[in-house]
Amino acid sequence: MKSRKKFLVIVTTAMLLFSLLSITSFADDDSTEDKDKEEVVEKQAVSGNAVFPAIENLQQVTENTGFALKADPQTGHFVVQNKKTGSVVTSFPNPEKWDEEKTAASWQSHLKAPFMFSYVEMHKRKDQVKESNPLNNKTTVTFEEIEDGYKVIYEMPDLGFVIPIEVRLVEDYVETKVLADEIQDENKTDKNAKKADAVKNRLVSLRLFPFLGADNSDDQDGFLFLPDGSGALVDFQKNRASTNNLYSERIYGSDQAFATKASLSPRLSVRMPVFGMKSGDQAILGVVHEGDTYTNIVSAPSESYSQYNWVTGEHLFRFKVYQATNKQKTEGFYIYSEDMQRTNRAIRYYLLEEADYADMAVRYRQYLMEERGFKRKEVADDSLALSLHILGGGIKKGFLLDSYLPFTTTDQAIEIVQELGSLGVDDMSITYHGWEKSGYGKFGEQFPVARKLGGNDGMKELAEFAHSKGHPIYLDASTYTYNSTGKNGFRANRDGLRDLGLNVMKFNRKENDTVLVSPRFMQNVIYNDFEKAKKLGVDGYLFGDGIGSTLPSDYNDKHLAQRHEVKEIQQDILTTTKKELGDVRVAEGNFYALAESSHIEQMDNDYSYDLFVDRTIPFAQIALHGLVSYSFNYGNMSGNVTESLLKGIEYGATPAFLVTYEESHRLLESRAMYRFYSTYYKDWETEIATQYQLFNDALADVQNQFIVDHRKVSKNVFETVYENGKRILVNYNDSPYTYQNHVIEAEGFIILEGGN
Amino acid sequence: MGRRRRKWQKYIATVTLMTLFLSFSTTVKAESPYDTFSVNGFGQTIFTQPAYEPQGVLADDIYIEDENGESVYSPLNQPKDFFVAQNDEIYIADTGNDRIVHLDMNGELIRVLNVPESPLNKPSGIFITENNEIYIADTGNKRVVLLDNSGAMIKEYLRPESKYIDDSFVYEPTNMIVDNRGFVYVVSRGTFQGIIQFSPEGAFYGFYGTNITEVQLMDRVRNIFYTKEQLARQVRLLPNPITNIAIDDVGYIYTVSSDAAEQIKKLNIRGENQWKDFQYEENINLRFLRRSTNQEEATAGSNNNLTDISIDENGIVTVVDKSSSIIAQFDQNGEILFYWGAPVTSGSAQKGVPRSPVAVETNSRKQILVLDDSLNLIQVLQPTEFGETVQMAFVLTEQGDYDGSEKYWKEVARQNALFTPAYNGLARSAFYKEDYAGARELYKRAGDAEGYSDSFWQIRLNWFQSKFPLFANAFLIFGSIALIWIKIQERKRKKKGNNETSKAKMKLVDKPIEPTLFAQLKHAFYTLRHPIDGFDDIRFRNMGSYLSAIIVLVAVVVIAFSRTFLTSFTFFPVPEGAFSVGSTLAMSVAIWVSWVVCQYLIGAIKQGQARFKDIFVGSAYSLFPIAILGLPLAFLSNIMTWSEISIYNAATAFMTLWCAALFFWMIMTLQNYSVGETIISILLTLFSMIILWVLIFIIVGLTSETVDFIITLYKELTM
Repeated sequence: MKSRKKFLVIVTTAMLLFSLLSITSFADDDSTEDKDKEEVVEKQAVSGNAVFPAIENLQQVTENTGFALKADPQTGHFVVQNKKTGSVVTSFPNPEKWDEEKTAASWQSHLKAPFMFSYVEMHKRKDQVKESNPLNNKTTVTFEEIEDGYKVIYEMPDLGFVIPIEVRLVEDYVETKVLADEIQDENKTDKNAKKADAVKNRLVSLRLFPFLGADNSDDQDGFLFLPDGSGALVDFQKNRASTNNLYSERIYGSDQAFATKASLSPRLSVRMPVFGMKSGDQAILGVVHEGDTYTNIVSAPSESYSQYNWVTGEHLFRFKVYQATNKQKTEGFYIYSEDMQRTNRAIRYYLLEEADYADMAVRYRQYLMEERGFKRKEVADDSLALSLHILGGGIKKGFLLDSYLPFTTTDQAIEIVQELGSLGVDDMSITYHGWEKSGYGKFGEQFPVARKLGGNDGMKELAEFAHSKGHPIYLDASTYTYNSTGKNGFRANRDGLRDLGLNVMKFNRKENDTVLVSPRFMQNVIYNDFEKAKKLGVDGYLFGDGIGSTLPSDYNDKHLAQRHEVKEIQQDILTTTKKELGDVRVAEGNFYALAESSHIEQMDNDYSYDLFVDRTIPFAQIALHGLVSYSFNYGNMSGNVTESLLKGIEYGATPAFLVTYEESHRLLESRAMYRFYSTYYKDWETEIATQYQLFNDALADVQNQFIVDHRKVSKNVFETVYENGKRILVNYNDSPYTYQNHVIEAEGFIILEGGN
Repeated sequence: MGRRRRKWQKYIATVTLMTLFLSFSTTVKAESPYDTFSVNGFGQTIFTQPAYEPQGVLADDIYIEDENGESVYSPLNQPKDFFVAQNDEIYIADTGNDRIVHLDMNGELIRVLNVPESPLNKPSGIFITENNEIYIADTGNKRVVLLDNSGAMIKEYLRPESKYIDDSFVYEPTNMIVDNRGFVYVVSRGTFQGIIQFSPEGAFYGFYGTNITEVQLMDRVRNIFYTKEQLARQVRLLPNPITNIAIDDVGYIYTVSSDAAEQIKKLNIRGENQWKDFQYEENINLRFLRRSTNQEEATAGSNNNLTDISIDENGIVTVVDKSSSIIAQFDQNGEILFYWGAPVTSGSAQKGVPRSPVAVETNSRKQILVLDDSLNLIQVLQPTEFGETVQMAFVLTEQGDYDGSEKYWKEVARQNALFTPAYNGLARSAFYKEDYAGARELYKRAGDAEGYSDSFWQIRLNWFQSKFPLFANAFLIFGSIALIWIKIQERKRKKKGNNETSKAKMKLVDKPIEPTLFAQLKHAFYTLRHPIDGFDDIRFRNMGSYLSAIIVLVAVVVIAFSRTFLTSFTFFPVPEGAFSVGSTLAMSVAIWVSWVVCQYLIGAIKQGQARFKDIFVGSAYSLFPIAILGLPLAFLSNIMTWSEISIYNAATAFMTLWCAALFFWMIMTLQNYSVGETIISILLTLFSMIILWVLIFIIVGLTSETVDFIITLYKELTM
């Protein structure tokens, strides 16, 4: 018996082993086949003598005074030549640095291709994307010259894709466009074919000229610019500790209507639709001009996927949806949306010579003024306005019922303002938070102003008092984004924001569900409330969250709005508010929301701490200073008060503080307030006054001046230069630093007036 | 001190922070890629400002010279340990590259040690003594190597020889420390016996700091029922091995292990654990690290994987946890200061967020250095102003310098009003300054019932002392008046005789059949004193009605809740707003109603004589002691301190017992049962109550499942 058993065991193991072996060998065969194919494809694509089109052989398409655009009709690649300096920018990676050995085969063809795309094979798996490029497929290229540039249509019959693109040279930029309207994939081609095994491929995303200007790190001179936080630079560096470096972030943050179950990105939201690269003398600033709401910024430093440093905009056409199949949303499956997002996609590449990041930001400022309606700030007085935030009241969980817990009544607010005035803060703007009837932490009922704070009359008095001192007063209106009480005529099932699976987006809290309000519904509520706000005599609203800061799509049938439409709704809310109330402000604002805004609260001055990021720069601040004023995190919420102060001075910010009249430990009584550590105004008034004086001395006279340069002087020492020649040097070190005979104190700064 | 408080308060703690991630408006930004938390005096997890901020990384750009003299990039390869020497120089055991890398304090390479005379093989531990001797746990070669400062080998510590060590013992040193006497404590991989202690001469000295075997309930059951043979066949229960070790300046040895009970031990020279009741998981609540909008709860349980521990010159203890990539800090007594971490993501690495932290060190600049064996570098964290202030405050309080610490605690409280240890510190210094009223208020804010009670004791003492003459006089006067009055009463009674009492009794009998509501309510008092008669009257003389019962019930509920509200902080240390009436009320009512129904039904089967109304009224009246004693008890609690807790507890117990006894007599009288029948009836009632609730839950559960099923079906069909 025993021996027989043994025999059996041996036989089965042997068989298993054998089958395993055969499987692996099959797999080997597969992969070799693939490789063969790839090689064949490569040969087709190359067809010339070099990997990339030779610059001399290109056909000149158009030129203007500064630049000439040459294109390769076979591939659609292009080259822009600077007529003055003769330097070129290529739509493919730097051909001189091409090194086949260092790159994986799949990436070799990506690097050569004019674009990369990803698609999902609906007839195979509905939730998995494949990455490919025209060189890996049979592609016919139709080339056609148009005004200022050329148009190329890529047809890939095997996949059923037809992708038209355009390239134009205008003034100092090249604009690349994906004509999303004319893209064809399974929707159009397979209408007549009813075959069961019909190829059904859906285009998911596309990166057009992803390696435009890409260079490797041999020269060690250059950087990638990412719109992370206030701006982050990735230096060209040969060796990095980690080789798994990828930056891929949606512009304006992830779409809440698709965020179910997906974990949120740990990175800061991208607020500005820009990216850039500098390699040697030549710098490129990329601006996502159209279709910014459906674009990812994607970047990787050298040695991560290829030997090149690259950054690009990835256009998204379809989105992964989690389709829950039970009520708890714990079970379900992923699917790619059926309809394609067909708004136009255009990226502009501004070609800059001898430029550093500051010059890029300067060029972006010019773009904002020319194309986006930003105007230079008009400054009435010559002092800086402290941004004072007052926290009204919250909800206290009561013994039997929840009760309203006032932290600062309107009368007390007057007292705070007077007291700060007596300490020398004579210019400020006041923003009232938690003034709503429903109280901070509950949402849905704004007017009238909470009775325990003083009601509408109290707020009127406060506004009158503030105006008599010359201080504008704003109300926090970001709370219109949510509703947890069903007030304001809101019904969650009818007026809540819905995802593509038609689930109402809400946060499951035990006591009260907080629901995201449909943007269109929210717009109406806000417009209906204007009259009430006007009666209070306030100068405007401070928006944030769902108005100017987060950008969701809404699939609620009654209020349907796609992401780009929601962006327009938000812009409309801002414009109308400004028209109705006189002024509007945004907290954590995306750049599309800033043209109307007079001030930005809670602006990012930090970055996401990616390991591969080498430097942080005030790109957003250089671009905005003089157009819009801004302040960072509240000065009293920081772990490092001094460092925050220095950063504010370096970046040209306005100081901001959040205070209450009640002592801070009272915050313990309201759960929603746990994020505020310390707000008691008596604890902070001297700090506020000192900081205000420092900021006022440094920045009062440059409020509408542009920043023209910013650089690192030495380790932890930075210099900011303004239009009028004023220079501010900040030293973060804990030892003094001497700069041209000027001693900068440890953790201090100096101001050098123009020409000094 | 805080231990016991925390345990019974677990139910109210920890429920709430999740919502905070979701309340967006006026959000406050961090200056770090992670969230920092602490635990307040009520055992709740709270947010704080970052205590440390990322400073940068070290050891990510090591270039060495190859044979041709060219500089080559030579990164670390899965390093397992490092050590920061007295002068802040860094020695890394670069395990994958079989070498020791020596960096200066700024991370510049000084030299690479290979020990050419006896090459290293997977060195995974390193220790530098004050004399700059280098100890290396040469794991692959199963030895500990001692090098002099120049890198020449002095000594090897090979497998210890002793009669206590049998052949199955595996000797694979992974780390070691050396105390100031020269004893070497070696951690060997998977060794459950504990730490191997070598004498300075290199001889085996003994095992040290062995963990206690974890015995689970099933094991105990087995021990009782299994025979010796069966037990012998069981897998032997062994203590968890120690994973890492560190020593502080004073000579205390700290060990970490992935044990459920003794994750971190602070051992004195005799191997006694100073942190006996320390519980790692009680302090650290990882739920808050998950930031996704709708994620399932990860499997809970003891899944910590503490990899290393480090103690700075002030005695602040820092540990790293590899499974959740968090860093936690404790003070000398094991009280938590902070912990921080970021949600674990698969994306690219972030500064300050370790991926796979294997070792932690602190240097003289108060920085925390974390070695990461997946990123192959050292992360450097720098304390923020806030973090530094908190540490200073804790250190001074430890040293007993309450006066000196006050300044720091004030600053901490100013910067973060929610950080309750600050109030604790301030309370201690107020107490020290004999400002007891202030201390009492601060202790309350800090959630420290014992401290509150102590300061109240002092206040009470002072009050008594100041008012002593008054009390003495008052006592004399009132005493004599009372005596006189009693004498007068006695005289009166003697005169009147017993006639009146009998008259009163006659009156009671003559009462009309339908007593007024007032009489019914008054009867509740009568029932307290004469339960058997009282319940009999309810049954036969209508001395209770639904209305009176409901009034009594409402009174009981109101007083019960007022009691929780009025009871002194000493005996009910719950933060304001944390205790909500709704759920408790619903629960008590549900239990009470089901009791009445079940008791009635059981009575109906078991030949009981009570009507439903009787049970209803009786059960209400039986709770009356709560209404009578609740408020006096609450009042009493306000003049008592911690030391008189036994009196308070006895009074509470008396109240409960009284209620229970009333219930018992109620059943006996109303149903006309014997004692035995009553007991059986009560047990049956309790049993049927359980059945009732199980049924209700099943029905509710099934209905919602059905609804869910229909929804799911609909969704799948309509897609």
